[in-house]
Amino acid sequence: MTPSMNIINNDIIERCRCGDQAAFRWVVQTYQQMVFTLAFRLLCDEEEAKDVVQETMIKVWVNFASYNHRQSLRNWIYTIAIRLCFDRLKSKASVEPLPEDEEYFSQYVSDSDTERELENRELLSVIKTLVSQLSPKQRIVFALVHLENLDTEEVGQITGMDAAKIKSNLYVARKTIREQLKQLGYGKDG
Amino acid sequence: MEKMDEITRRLALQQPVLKDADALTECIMVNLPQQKKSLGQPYLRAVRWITSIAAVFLLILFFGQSRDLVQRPNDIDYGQSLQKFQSDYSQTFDNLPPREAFRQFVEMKRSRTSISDIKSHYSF
Repeated sequence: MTPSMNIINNDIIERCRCGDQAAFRWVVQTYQQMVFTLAFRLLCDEEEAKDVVQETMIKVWVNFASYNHRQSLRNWIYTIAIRLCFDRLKSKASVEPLPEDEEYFSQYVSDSDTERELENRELLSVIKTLVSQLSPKQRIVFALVHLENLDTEEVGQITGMDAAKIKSNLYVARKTIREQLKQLGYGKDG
Repeated sequence: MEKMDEITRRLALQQPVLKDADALTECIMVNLPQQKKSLGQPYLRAVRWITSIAAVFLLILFFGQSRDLVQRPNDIDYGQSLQKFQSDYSQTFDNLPPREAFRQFVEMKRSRTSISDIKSHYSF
């Protein structure tokens, strides 16, 4: 983050702490897509992801007074969103991918145009097929490391897990996904 | 590259589309509740801690003192009190056998004794 961005962020944070709703609107507009993407990838449900965005932003607003400057605003928002997603993942039974999801998945894998923008429905099927066998913790670690591209230190800050736990969850997650791909007929060589 | 890595790399670049983003922002802004109050500056928090600890310390002192007051009768000079008691009642019980003297003393005290009697007798 550039120094000027830092100054803007600090100013926005201070204003939000003082109850400035206009400043908070900026926070919502800046981070709602990030939270939506994360929740979409974790919960595999568009409507639930929207609910998580709302709940996260309201929690951020209510608890701005307890925000610690040592953590970046982005990571703090990630932390709140992850906790909400984790609660939802724990309470709902894992959803097995449907045959049509697997069909979308095979189309996606065999698509030569790797840059093609997927529709939400297709994206959902691909993610669901890939991560359906993972536990909530494995899913969170996998999404943060491989899909959100965060480093281990940041994942630790966000999830509260130590490096060893992150590594073990990631190892099992990758192994499970590899086995899932093998079952679907995609070995190491594709 | 392993198939899994290739798929996850492609997925990382794909973001779901948030339809009606402005409507979602509006919905959030309309439903904002009251913010939780800040605990204030660090020095204010320190002052609160210090006053809380002082209050607890004062309470401990208070109860310690009360306990001391209750125990104070133990400090009475019993030798002196016994002498006073013997001189007060020697006339009444001198000619009676000990058992009868004790019974009469208890009877007498039962009808007369009150906390103020005891206090005045032992002068505390």
